[in-house]
Amino acid sequence: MDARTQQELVAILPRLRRFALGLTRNGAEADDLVQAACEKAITRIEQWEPGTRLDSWMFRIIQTTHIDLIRGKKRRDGYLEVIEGQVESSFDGERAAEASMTLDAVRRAIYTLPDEQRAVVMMVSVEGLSYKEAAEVLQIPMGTLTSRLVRARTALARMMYEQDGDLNLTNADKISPLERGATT
Amino acid sequence: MITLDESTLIAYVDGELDAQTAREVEHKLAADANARKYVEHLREVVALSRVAFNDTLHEVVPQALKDTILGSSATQGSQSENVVAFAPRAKSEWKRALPMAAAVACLLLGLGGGYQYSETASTNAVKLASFSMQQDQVAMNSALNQALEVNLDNDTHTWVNPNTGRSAALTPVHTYQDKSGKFCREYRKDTTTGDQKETTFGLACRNDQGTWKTRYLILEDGEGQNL
Repeated sequence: MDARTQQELVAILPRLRRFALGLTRNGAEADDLVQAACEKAITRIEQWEPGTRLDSWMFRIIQTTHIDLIRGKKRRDGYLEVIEGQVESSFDGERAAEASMTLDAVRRAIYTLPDEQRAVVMMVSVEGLSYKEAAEVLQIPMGTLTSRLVRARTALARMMYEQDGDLNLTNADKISPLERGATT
Repeated sequence: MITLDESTLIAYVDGELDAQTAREVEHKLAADANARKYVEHLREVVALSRVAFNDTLHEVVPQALKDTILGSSATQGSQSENVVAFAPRAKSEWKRALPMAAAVACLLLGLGGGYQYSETASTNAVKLASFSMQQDQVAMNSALNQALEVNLDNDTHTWVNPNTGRSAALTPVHTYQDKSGKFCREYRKDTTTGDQKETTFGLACRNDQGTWKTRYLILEDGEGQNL
């Protein structure tokens, strides 16, 4: 790895750690993940085409490494494969509403999303990748990406703005916690 | 004819619709209060998600991670895992604009979000070629200050000097409040001189006198510059 690429990689480390935190939900695991991803990147740097986005390439390595780690962990622990959409939400909507709209609440809400949806949210909402870029990183069709994103956003909006009901297009006129916070 | 379903509105909020479709959506939104409310909620969720993990950006990166990278010198490729190469970054895609009122953004960031740019060594010096260009530069800076002080995010302020043919489109893109409570805004500056076009992206912060000082500038070729 040449010095320039090294510098570039060091410069994006904070963002890589942020992305990894979103995936692992745990600071120590996030650093292990970034560490493993950087080691991989170093050994296969010739696969990265200079002039293209190093961050997207690294997101992809982090994402695949994370999946490998989860699969290994599940095998070892004898867990059943979690099927997307079947995760029981442990998010306490009432408590979140009381705590108003804190960033902590958003983080916790994102943490309750299934792995695949969370990865999409981290890329599109947090890192600001376009749908096309995110689909390339995840190597999934655009349709799959957008459906995951729609499910994730809808779930987040429901957790944020509704304590027990649905937030949908016909029931979206409740006052948001944000507005409540703004008037106090 | 489009329908304002969830996936359409989500794509709209993410700026993923083509201009024609986006106009149709806006047209329909004007007549649909529920859908507008839904869009507003989506924008808040997106805006909050965007900053929810920013604490990590302020943390000191563990030295072991840096050492892993800086300790590597030779390229030792052997594996052939399917890591695809990405297309070069399009200039306009530096950051997608999140349409969001400045006030909302400030409120959100006031909740404890933070913001930081990675620092890059200063490599480019801005050279002012002539006196008239210097004058234009002063006028443009004043126009930029005006845009940052007054315009909402994604609201473009245009400056033109008909005598020199120079013009600039100045657009605040994001608004933040940093840890000390100071407001900072990312902006886009499209300058046209004759048939030469140049786009730069900057981060400017406001002092108590209403003056915006650019702290960080990204030139079109991707080089960053701390100011």
